[in-house]
Amino acid sequence: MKSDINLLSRTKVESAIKGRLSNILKIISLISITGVLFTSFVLFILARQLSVDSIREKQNAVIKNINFLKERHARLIVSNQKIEEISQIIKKRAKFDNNLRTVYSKVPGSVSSQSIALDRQKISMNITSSSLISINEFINNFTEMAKSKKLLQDLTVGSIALDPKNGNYSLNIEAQIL
Amino acid sequence: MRGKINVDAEAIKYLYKQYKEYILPSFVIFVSVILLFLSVIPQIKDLVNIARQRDAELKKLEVLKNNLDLLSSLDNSTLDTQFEAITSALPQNKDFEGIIYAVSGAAQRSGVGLGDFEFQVGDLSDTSVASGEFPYLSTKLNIQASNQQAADFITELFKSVPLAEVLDVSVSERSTKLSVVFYYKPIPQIEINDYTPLKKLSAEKLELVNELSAWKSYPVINIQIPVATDSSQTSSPF
Repeated sequence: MKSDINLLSRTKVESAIKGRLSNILKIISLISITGVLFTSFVLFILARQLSVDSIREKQNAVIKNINFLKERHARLIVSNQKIEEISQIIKKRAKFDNNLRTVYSKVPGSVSSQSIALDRQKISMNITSSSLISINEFINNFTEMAKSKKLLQDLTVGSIALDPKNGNYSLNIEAQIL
Repeated sequence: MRGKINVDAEAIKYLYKQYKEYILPSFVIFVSVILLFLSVIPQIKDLVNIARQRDAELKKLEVLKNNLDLLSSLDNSTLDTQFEAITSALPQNKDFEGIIYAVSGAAQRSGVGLGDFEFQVGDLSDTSVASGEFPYLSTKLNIQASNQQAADFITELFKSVPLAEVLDVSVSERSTKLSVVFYYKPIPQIEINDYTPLKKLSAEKLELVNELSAWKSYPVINIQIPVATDSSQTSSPF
């Protein structure tokens, strides 16, 4: 008798457990399939909302308007390009005028510049003076410029010659332009 | 000896009866998982890509609108004036007339006498330019000036159009010889890309353009451009 009572309760217990498990599985399956379908649907709607087609249409409309201003467009591009090139040319131009003025400012008043040859790399000068002191001052000025690396470097001073006809001393110098 | 497992119709029927409550839900869960990997995750990836694409297209639209606004705001006559000043300074072709005016004007403003000068034309058909270089027309100028006046002449020449650069100077007691090049540059083929952001001329560039306009407008008095009367007496640089 005892075992019959035991058997009955075990079956009920097993049946209850089975039922609960079955319900849980049903709920999970319902949730999962609903969740997946709903998520898929939402993603589909979102993808349609975020479509780039409308943006591309707006782009085309703007491009159409820009096309009416093609000439201005071209001129602006060319102007920007050319002014940049002009700026480059102006920046890289050697300042011959300033260089000449700097050189002249170092020539004492009693020294006469017979010739100056100047290019981007070097300068060569022939000077004359009746005064050796002035010639000395001239040499000192240019030596100082070369020492302080102001415009010149590697100064070469030629020999001083005397023209007995007029008593003038002449000198030639050469230097590298910085 | 192991027990034999007999799989036959009866066994299957028995198993089905035992577990039929679980079969359908399990199958549905299985299908959901499959759908998750085959459909939902790829959709999420697609959505991320679409969002990125949309951002990129919105940025392009922004650029286009800015370009349109900029172009619409430009004044045609101002743009023409600026363009003229710029192309005078760096003309498309060798501008002989411009050069003669520039040299003469510089001579007048610096108070020097202008002697003879010659153009070194070069190959007229050659329009190729090395990258980063500018084509130029070479000239040899002879001015009646020495020392300070030569420096003044160069200063004035640098404020002329077309743009000039001095290569060397030889100053003697009463005259100065200069090798000068005048730059030009043909306008290259432009590919207009609507999606490239346009820029107005910056303040610095506008200042330069104004300067070029001023250089261009320097008056030059009594300049006669030589006109050939017959071929034997032509003074044309050709």
